[in-house]
Amino acid sequence: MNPALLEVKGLCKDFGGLRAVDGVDFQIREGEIFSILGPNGSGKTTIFNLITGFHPATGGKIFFGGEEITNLKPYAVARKGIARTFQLTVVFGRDTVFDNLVVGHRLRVKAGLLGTIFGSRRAREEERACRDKAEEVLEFTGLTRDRNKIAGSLTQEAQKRLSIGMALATNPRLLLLDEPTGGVNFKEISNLVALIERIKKKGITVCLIEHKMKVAMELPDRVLVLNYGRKITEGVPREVSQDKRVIEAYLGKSYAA
Amino acid sequence: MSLFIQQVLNGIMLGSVYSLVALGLTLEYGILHIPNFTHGALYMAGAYATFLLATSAGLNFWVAMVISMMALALIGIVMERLVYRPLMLESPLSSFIAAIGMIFIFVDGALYLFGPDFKRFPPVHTQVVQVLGTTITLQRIIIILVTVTLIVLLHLFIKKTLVGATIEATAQDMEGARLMGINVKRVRMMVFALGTALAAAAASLIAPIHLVHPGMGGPVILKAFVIIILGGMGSIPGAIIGGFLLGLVESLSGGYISTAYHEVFSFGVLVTVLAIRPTGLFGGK
Amino acid sequence: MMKRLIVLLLILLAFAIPFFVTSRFYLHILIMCCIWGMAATSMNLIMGYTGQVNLAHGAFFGIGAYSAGLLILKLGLNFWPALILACAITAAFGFFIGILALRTKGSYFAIGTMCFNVIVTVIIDSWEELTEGARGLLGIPRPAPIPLLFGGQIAFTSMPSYYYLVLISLLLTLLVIYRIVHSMMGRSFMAIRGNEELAESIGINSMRTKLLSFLISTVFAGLAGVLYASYIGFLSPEISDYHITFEFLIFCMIGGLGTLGGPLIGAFLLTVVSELLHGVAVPRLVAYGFLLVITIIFLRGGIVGGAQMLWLKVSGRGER
Repeated sequence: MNPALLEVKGLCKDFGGLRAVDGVDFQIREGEIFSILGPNGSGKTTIFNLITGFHPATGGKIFFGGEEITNLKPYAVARKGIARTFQLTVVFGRDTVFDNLVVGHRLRVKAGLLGTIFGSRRAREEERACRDKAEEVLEFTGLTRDRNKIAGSLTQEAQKRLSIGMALATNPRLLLLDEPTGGVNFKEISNLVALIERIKKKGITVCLIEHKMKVAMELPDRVLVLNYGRKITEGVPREVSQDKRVIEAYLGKSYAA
Repeated sequence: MSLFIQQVLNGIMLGSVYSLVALGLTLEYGILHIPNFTHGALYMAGAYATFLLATSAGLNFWVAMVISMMALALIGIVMERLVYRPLMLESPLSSFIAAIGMIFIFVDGALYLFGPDFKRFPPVHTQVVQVLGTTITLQRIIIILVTVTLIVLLHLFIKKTLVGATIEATAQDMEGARLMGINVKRVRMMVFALGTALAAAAASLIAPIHLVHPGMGGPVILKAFVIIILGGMGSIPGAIIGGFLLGLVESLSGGYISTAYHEVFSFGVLVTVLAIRPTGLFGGK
Repeated sequence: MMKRLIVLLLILLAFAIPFFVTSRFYLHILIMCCIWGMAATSMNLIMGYTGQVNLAHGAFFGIGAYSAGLLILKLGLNFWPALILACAITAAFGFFIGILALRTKGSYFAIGTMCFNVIVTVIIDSWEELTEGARGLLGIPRPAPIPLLFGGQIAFTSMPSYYYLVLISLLLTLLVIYRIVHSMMGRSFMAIRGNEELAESIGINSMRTKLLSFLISTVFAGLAGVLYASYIGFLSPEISDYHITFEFLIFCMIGGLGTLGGPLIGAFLLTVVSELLHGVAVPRLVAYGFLLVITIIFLRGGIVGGAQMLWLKVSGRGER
């Protein structure tokens, strides 16, 4: 069994009077594909936001690679090695695909002021490293042909690949994908699934939020199911899909019996 | 003690005028979703309009003020239609820049047409009245009464009439309002007409005391911004409370701290608040 | 390649100008163009490339000018160390104002910086013991001559010599900003302009990055202020006023925000036009106002942006 890369303990989040996440514990093991499921409003995206520092947690702790990262700012979390995509796909719409990817690697270089102004060798090497990384990601995500297109003009599915690519350019150890197959048709789904499997092969741990049952159950190694901000169960897909409580959460009590 | 009461009454008077201006601004913000920087220039235009009507045309002060309000409402509508509407879908920066351009047009146009000197208003109500042990001119009391009446009328209009409800709906969610069959274009026009009319009223009321000159909009609009940021952009109660608060602070600090620095004081307060709560005291977004 | 040649040609032309333009009037216009050009270009860094609507720029221009003026007149410093110190002082102000103001975003940031601008102007106007207030600071001398190795010196009392000083400063400003914009640092700035949240999620420390952009832009604003002070020789609180900030804004918008040459072109064009039309009855700022409104509605990218679009159409690359 692989060691835990991400450990979440007793995570809580209140928005005013609403408890969106209520004492959730789970672990994501290194190298696996993990999936978070649950009906709408069960707190899935909120958990992503808490892990990546977009919201401060009301309670609980988050550990990454043994180090506590609770309430770190988003850029600090990214530097630790956690990258994410958003449910509503965002890219830098006015820039080219290539430029989007180049800036994704920026966090790994120093880009000091003096070096920049005087054109030091280090600055030039850093720039080349970012461009090389961008080329690598272009190929990996199948966007080489689109490299000079303006990001905003791409199809929805290509934009999703681009946003995944940007996250990959940050050299993450853990990749959080928020509904990567949202709003995408059948053929495109299999493309994205293949991409995610390739990501796993590279040794990057992946955590998905997914709605589509097929993807949610067949792709991941383990899943976590939430309802009303609380954890229902955590385990391998086969067991979880037969768990009475999970069926009850999705389909109601009458089906669980 | 008598000084204190005088400062308080003065503060209430200033506050009521600031509230009126801030109200117009916050209404416009509710629709535009960016602050209408030109509001101050329109305020100034309202004062000049009333001044011209009262002096050259010899009209009664109140009649002049009402006509000025209507004229400014018209200008507001034209501005919305010609400048802000085309920029509706662009980034807020564009509307903001356009507002700055319009400020130049109004303020420097006024400078060119009327000259930089302070124009004195013909005295309107100069009788002196005794209130709470201090003397105060009737004009100041009238200002307070008229502005409070206007504020109450506005409140009733928005909360109790159907038209007012459409304004609230559009301010909250333009798309949703449109889908409900509300004529959003008409609402935008109406809000602008209202906002600029209120500015014209405020300017006309304070003009006999503070005189009329092309730069009069500047300090007032900056204060109005302070108010709506503290009170929350788009919040009507925030504008009212904030307006009276600022009026009192300014009057009291001006009396007890050097007047040169009281502007710095108000802005200092604003900057401090923003540093602690970057979205204003009541701000939602 | 073509672009570089054109730029080189323009630079050579700029250096050659004093040889065939000897009229004091025209040289004066050119010197002012360079000074305003520096101010506008530096504002472009925080506004055009980093996307933050900074309305305090005039204040920093004024702080630079007054710092130099006061250091030279009241502390008896030589121009050159005063220049460096004045830029450092401006940067210090930039740091403190930036740290406070950059906590806010969008419209709040615009208003907050405008308030700072007003505060600075009021302080300069009111603190008479320090700044002479509305009376103004008089008699700021031209830069002290630079002695050369083999005897003789470079003096700055003549118009052409001052022109070269500001020209070189302008080119320096452009070079630094060009370098920054075409680097990874520049990409961070533009990422924040594009989408601040997304930039944070890919590891860009947005507060630190915005502050850096803000600081750099204030330093060059201060530098422009110093050069203004020494050239005109006289300062009054109006030069830090928000009207000055708005003029810088107009230069940037008309020329093209977010392009390297845009603010410069805007500054040149409008300065030349306004100086040439000095005696004409039409109020300059009213015309500016109309120009601005029309530009923003119809020609959003300014002159340079419009030219770029035209170029794309003509060269066929705009076609699908």
